[in-house]
Amino acid sequence: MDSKFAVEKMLEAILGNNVSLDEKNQVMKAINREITEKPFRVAVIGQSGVGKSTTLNAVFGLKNYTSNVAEGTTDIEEKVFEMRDGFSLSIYDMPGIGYDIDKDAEYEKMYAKILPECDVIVYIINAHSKDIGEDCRILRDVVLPVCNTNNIRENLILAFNKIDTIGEMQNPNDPELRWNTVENLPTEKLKSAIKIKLEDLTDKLIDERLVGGEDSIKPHQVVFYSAIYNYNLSAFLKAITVAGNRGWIWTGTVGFEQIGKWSDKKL
Amino acid sequence: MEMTIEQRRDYDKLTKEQKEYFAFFERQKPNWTFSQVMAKVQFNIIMDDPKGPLGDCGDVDPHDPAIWLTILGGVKVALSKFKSISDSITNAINGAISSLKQMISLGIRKVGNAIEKILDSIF
Repeated sequence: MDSKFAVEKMLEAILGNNVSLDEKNQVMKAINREITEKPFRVAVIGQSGVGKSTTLNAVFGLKNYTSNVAEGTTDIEEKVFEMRDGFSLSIYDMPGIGYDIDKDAEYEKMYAKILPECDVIVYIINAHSKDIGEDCRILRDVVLPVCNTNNIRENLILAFNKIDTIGEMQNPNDPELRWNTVENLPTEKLKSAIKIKLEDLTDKLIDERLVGGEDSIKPHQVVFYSAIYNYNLSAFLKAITVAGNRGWIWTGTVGFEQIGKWSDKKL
Repeated sequence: MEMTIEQRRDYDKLTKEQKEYFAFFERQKPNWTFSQVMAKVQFNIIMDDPKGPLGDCGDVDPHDPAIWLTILGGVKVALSKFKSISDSITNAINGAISSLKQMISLGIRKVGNAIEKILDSIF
């Protein structure tokens, strides 16, 4: 079995016969070292119930991953997963920091210690949340300042999960507002409900200067998806690819292999 | 809305339809700055994408030229750390990057010719 990563195969083909064998080997060795010398580090932040486990399963292919980090803990362990051929993924599973403003300083210390080590920082929010005010406050007052101080704002992805449940939350008795599991698409009525909700959410992000402000993130760093239905994961993968200086490593190695790996439709 | 030179440059890159969105959002949110209105326009573009969160997302496309453009950009930066990289290597990578940029500007989702053949062999 060819053990090369996708980016290595691409690079080898691009170089072709245009360079000497020695030069080609030098380049391939350099890229392989870039890929394997340290794990690809991902911090995942979110309150209980936002779908951290399902997201890590759907996007990063971590089968049977369970997020059981205690709410409010600041003692975070790095979990390393060997992918293949010397490449590994490491996850910092971090709870949402709760709604106690007095604890902000404590959590800021935790984020300041861990986030600068990470290649990608995923902050997950429930898309069907009635009020994202507290998440906006935490992002604005704690997470973004840490990212800006350490020049890692481009590593941040704001991930709105569970867009499939937006309709049910509005009216659980309306079958037209439920996800079409046969086609794996929103129904037309659900699509309209999702559109309105996403417009509200994006307006809120812009009003709060989390997007469209100085030192804020860009629209492409915000993704709307459903982890459980593997819906719109391509946007998530694109956001990872462009994250910071090393996001490309995930997609260029195992990103395409891992995404949606354990989805029901593939069984 | 008054714009700086850079903002005017960004605004001029918008299509006619996107400029209409800009004007609409500018009226809807008179207190928003240029950057805030542009962010709303960009979100609108994302929502309008037929393969976006309101469309038929389908499977992840490993032939997407935008993704490969980013990956090769990352490779180039990684290799720039090494002084011994020759011009022929840099030229080969730059050639592939130009092809991908051309595909993106022409709006062709699947890359053509040599790059496509490479991706077909990989995926």
